[in-house]
Amino acid sequence: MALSIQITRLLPLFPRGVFLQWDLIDSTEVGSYSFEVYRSGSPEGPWEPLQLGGVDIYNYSDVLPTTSTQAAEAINQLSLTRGIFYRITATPPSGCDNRVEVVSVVEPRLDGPQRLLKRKILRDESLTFKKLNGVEIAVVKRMHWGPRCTKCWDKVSKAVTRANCATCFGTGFSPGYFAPVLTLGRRGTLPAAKQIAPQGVAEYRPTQVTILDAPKVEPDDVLVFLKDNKRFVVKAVIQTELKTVGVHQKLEVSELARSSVEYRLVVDPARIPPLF
Amino acid sequence: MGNINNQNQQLPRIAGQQADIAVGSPLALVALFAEIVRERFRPGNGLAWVWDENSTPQKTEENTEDQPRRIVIEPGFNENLEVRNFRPAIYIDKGETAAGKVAIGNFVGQKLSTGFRAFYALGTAPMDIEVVSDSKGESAILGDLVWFYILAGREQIRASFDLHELTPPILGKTVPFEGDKGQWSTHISFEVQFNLRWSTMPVGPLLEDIMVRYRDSEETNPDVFLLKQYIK
Repeated sequence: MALSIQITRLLPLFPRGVFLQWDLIDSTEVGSYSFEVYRSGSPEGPWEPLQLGGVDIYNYSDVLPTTSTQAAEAINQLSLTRGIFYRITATPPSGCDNRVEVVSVVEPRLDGPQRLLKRKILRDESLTFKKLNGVEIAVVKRMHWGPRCTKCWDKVSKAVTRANCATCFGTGFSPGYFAPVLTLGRRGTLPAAKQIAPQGVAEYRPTQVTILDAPKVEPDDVLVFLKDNKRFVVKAVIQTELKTVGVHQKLEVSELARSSVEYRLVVDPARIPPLF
Repeated sequence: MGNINNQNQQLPRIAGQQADIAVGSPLALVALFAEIVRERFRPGNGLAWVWDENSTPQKTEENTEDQPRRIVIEPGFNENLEVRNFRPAIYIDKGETAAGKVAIGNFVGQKLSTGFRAFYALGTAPMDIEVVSDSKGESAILGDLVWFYILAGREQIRASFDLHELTPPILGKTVPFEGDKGQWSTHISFEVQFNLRWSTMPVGPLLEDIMVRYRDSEETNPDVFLLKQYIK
């Protein structure tokens, strides 16, 4: 068996921080292991280093900074839906070539049979997605902390003055969204509704999307379906849970207007032509 | 008002509208203010938004003065718009028209010999301009821009389109509403007053006048009499 890291505890200490604890599985080398801890708003980063080179320390208390400025918003837990991701890397005595890492969102752990049950449920759903009705989705997580947009963010009134800003995409943060996370999911049918409103003919296309437990999605995140490049904004998240641990995520989403600035987000540059 | 071609200076109506759209009617007033607001957002006005008949966003749009973002400016409740859910956008609509009296029975004069009577009233219509955007900040900025434009230009607008009065506009709160995604709306409201004139002519005296002339003419065939009247 190869070396790996298992997170044994990820406990939010609302509203000021998170406690992390981990263990090594199949550590065969003798000597000191060093650990690095990173934080992000998406499992794909970009990652912010919290602790570098901690030797033989198997826990970390992330005390969230209270250093918001007009130019940058510090991370906080003052939201019911804020998802914080941590990456822990372990470097064995033999060096960086054998480094291992684990990424996890802040949520409780399951033990014993419940853990296996969750794994079974996820495996079945994953197989259904892969072999039957799943499609590729890029989950683009909206930023809720970080440097403010220098182009359209008004520091004093705290307002986004350009909803279609190509720097922050209307979020007020630069660059607006974290790196996209590719996953599989199932999209419901799309009942297109229209109504005459003061804004002319207003069209609505709400639907439901089911994805696995990761990445943890929050309202205002964007889903990009790579097959047809239709983009949706997440309005609500309904999570099925097993003893408070997320198993699936059912998302209430709404298709974005074709003129929306979210259609300028580059989500899959490897494609030809790239999806933007 | 550079590009607005109001050929008839006496009418609150844009030239080129369908003939069925009467002066001071709802479609005339809405079209008038839609065109007035579009004028402010035409290219070259130094704004970060530009109005164009083609609404498809361009790749180069950066929401700056040199690379402005397209904006939609249309009458509200328009069922024929083929551009849907576009933001930022400005929609123009009008409320209920009321005719107010400025004289007893709206009466202004008559011609005793014919019974011709002339009337006059002031039509009053509340106008509403709604600015919609994905962000509160942008909606508020655009709302302020349109509000001040109407405020500063109201005398010019009033005189150019023969409006009796254009009240100072009111800039409303910027409030959220739900659509395909969360949106923000700012209303600008004001009233326009315009002249309404009409006349009545009783048919009885007119017919009697024709009868007297016919008898005096000693013509026996009424068709020939009328033909002679026409040729004369």
